[in-house]
Amino acid sequence: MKLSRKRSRLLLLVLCVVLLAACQGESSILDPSGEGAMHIANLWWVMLIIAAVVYVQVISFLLLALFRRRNADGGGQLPDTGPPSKHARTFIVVNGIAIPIAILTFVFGFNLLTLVQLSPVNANAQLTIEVIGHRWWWEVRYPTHNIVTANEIYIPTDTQVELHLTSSDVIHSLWIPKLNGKTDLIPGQTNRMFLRTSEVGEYRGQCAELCGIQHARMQLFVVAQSPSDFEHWIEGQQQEAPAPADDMALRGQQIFLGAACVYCHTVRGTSASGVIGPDLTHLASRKTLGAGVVLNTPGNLAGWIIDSQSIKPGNLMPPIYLESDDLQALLTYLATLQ
Amino acid sequence: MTTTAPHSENEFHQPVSEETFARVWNDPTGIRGLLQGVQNQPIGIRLIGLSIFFLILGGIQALLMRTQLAVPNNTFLDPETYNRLMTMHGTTMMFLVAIPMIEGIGTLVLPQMMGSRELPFPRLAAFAFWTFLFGGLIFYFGFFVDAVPEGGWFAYVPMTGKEYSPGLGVDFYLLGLNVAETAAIAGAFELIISFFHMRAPGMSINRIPIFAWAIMVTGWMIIFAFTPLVVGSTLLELDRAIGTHFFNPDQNGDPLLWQHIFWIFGHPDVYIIFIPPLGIVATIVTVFSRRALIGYTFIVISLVSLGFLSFGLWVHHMFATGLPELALSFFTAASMMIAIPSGIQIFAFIITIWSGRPVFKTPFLFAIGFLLIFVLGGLSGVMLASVPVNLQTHDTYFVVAHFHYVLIGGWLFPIFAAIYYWFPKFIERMPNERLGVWNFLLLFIGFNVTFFPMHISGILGMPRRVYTYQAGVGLEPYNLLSTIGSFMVAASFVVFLINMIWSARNGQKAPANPWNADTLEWLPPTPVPPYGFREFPVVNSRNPLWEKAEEQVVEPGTRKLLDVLKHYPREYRAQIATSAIDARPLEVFRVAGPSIYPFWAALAIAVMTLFLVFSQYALAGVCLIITMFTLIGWHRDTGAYSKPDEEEAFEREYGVPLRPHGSRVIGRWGTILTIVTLATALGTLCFSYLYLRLKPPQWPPDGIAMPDPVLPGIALLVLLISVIPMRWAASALQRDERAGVQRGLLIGVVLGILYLVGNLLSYGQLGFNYQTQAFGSIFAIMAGYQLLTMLVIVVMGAAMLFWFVRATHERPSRHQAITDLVLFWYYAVAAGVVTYALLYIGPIVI
Repeated sequence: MKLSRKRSRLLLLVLCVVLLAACQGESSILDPSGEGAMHIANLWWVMLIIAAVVYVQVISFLLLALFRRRNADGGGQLPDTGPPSKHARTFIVVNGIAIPIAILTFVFGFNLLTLVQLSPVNANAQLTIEVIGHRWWWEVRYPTHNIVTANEIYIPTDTQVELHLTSSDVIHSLWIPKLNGKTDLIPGQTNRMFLRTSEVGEYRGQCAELCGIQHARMQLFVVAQSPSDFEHWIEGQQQEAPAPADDMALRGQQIFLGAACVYCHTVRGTSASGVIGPDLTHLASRKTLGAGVVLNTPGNLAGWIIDSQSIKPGNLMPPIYLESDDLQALLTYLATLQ
Repeated sequence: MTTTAPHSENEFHQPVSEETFARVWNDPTGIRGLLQGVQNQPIGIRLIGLSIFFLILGGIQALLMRTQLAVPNNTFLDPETYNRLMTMHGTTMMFLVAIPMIEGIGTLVLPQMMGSRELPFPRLAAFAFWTFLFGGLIFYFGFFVDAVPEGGWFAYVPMTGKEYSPGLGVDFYLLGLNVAETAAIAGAFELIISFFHMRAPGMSINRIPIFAWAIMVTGWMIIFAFTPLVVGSTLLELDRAIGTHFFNPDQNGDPLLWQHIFWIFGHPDVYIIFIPPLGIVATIVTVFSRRALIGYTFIVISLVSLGFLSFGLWVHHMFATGLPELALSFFTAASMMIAIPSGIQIFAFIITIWSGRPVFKTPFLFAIGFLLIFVLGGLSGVMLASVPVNLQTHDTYFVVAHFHYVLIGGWLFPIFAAIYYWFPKFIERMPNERLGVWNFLLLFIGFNVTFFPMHISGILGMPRRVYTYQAGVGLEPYNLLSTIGSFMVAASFVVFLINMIWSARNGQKAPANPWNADTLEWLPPTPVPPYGFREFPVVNSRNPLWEKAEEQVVEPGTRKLLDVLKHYPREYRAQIATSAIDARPLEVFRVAGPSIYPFWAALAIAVMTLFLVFSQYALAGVCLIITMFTLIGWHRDTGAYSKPDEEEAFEREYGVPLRPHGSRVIGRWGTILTIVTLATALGTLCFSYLYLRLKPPQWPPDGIAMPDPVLPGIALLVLLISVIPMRWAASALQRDERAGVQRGLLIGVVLGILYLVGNLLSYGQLGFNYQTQAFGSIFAIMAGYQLLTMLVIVVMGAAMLFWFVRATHERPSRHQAITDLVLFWYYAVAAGVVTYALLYIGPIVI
């Protein structure tokens, strides 16, 4: 009896250590920064502790049942077909019915509480953002500010942000673990999701519904800024693309407008108004390319343009053949799209 | 062989040698035996072998996936290959491993465990095997034409629609699996009917082994869960192949409809996979604790509750889809509540072990493994039931961890226990104990090393179904651990296979009951003769083989019956049917002998399916007609029948009817279960219709003309009237009035044809077709389903009338199958009313 108790305590300790180690992480649900994620993490811990205690209890019973001292076995003794003791029945009723009902009622109640805390009914959206899922990138629109961007959602801190989610093709799911639970992006309907955080920072998000060959590399960042920084960002995003300042950039713009780019991409302030791919008006201000696949550096951007298939195979951008001089000019132009 | 038919007890009770008795029970040998054999024992073993084969394939797929995921940004597999393997792994395990294994063990063990010689429909069992095999092969055929599905085992639309999955991969998936699912439903029929009517005398309902209860509950669940999936898969295939719009949001269809239908199947499916192992663990715990199971009644009620409750949880797979919160909470409550019937059984097992004296042999070790692993999975399941927690953990590796704990703990461990346990009985040698312990340890440790870290990967933000993951966010050590563990699991399988092969060849010869078990399957000698029991046993308790001599009481009438059945009938395979509650003998009837037609029927269906995948509809139609002809051959038997006066003499002498044309009781059950299946399919279509109604603001949607109810209404009236002549026919049959039967059938069939013609004419006048939005699609499929149902029944009716008219020398009441037809007819009429109400009254009223 002592042995199994010790064993179960040791197990519990190991479990705790392991789990505490699991807490920290850039995308950990147990390291919440957003309001929704915080409520959920609290509920999680309550449920985990209860589950662990129940598990230890059940296993202790099992180990006791297996290894308890019994009278010396007469090998030829017949199997016991007698009626069970009253205690046996009580054991089943108490452990199988009474205790579970009590625990589950408590857990369900706590769960309802958390659900209410997360509920859209209690939320008064102060900022509405539209997110449209595409195969393998995120279109982000700010209808009140007339902004279109991609793969990044900027939000002010201490503001209830409501996301309207839909998809242009297959089902995706937006998940920013440190901020809130996930919600699906489904073509033909609009789902709502809420974000609210007090912590300035960058929060990684990822698609969480199998959407095709590059589902694994459909990421985005939510960038929470102070309200004043956010206003600053908005103003910048509302600008159209500036006219090219030097010859190289001008040549680059001409290449851009003359090549296949304009079939898929928009740069506001030019004639490019394609809608199949992300809006590039402020491409140079973005952290990553290809929805989080590589950092937005000139080398990576060059590689992406020439042959995005080798970086993110299966994505819908075809390779673009350019002479090296033309490529340099184009890169110079794209760098002006801040 | 009969020169004079027996008429008196002396003549019935003519003793025959073992050889003579076995002659009619032996299946042919060699290739002929393989193709024509119908006995439950070899069929069961083949199904188990098939499952193990696919288990190894699925396991290799998993190893490849884990190798790719060992380190981030790995290039071992490209994303397309990974997504294909991931889809094949899940699909293989869920459809081609779990179900055939359960049905295989049921086929092999259940009849013998209940004191019966065979399953009710042996040819259907053979058909189920061939259909599983061909279904699996069709599904894997895609590899040979580079058409492998990539959409996951759950195949969400729109990704699996024609636009985003243009190749044939998804078609192989949908159609190949439809074939395999049909096999599962066929198997379910057998197992349900066995439970109710093919038990040893005295095995009253409160003495039935828990394993049998579990299989029976599972059988019902298979009918109610797999049928919707067949319907849903058909709808998706139609969207892909002919351009219907069930799931197309641009045409008032809904991608979520697929999810609802899939999970209405999918959630009960995992309980279908988990409930028979509960029965296995109950068996193992009883035998290896050397203690009769404590809490039998609790366990039975829990099993039945699980069966029902599991149909009310499916939305917990859809918590992130934007459904209303109140609805979601209902499913949270149900998903948490289902822990109770599961938990009751766990505690019943534990207290049984406590009250007993455990023997730590390999089967028992695996049962302990089940308890340790499944309980943890069940607890993570309760966590997932909560909507807020679910929204963080849904579609992450936390879920992957959860379901592998409940599936491997809840299915694989008990299955290994079962294989080791029943090995001595059916493979006739003892499995090697040391290898068994190694098998267990490697699997137990390897499993936990693989899957426990996945809880953490999920918490750290790793989604599912990804061919790679971000470096530098803390996922590396857990993924590496999982990969290492997966190779340990593979090693345990190698040990398992070595053990199976070595023990089958070199193991100690097994005695009849090496584990000193309590249930009847251990009663016959080892090797088990093809008929199982020459003398049917009588049961007086829940643990028949543990009964003391003084407890064994047999009623004289039953004794007399069971004695004669040791020697008679001699020309066909005979079995008793017993009553559902008390297990009193009801009939002695013939079970079917060997036939090649189940193989041909399965092959014709398989070839038809391949033609459908490649859109060769004409050739598929030809195969369908061939299939119908094989069904005719199927129903022929080569055994000599006894004469009517012989049957009457038997009944006078022994008190139960003799039915060489097949059991009436069981025949009726077969009809009822078929009707239940058809009705479930109709129910799925009705659900889809009402669900699609919710999309557009009006119905029919703007721009579509209201379907005219008058002509179809008249046709429906004609069909309703046809109930009257069919009733005449049925009652005339019982009164042996030949003319009445003929007249009734003829008028009924004619009215049925008028109904069909009326409906066909009305379809020509509709202002829309199957491609006119989701409205047109659902209208077309419901109308088409009713048309097809009625057509088949009318053809059956005409065929039966034809044979009846020709068989002038036989008494009408011998054609009891006509009463089954009448029952089908009533169903078709009811289905016609429901269909008409939705299609024609629906647009007016809703």
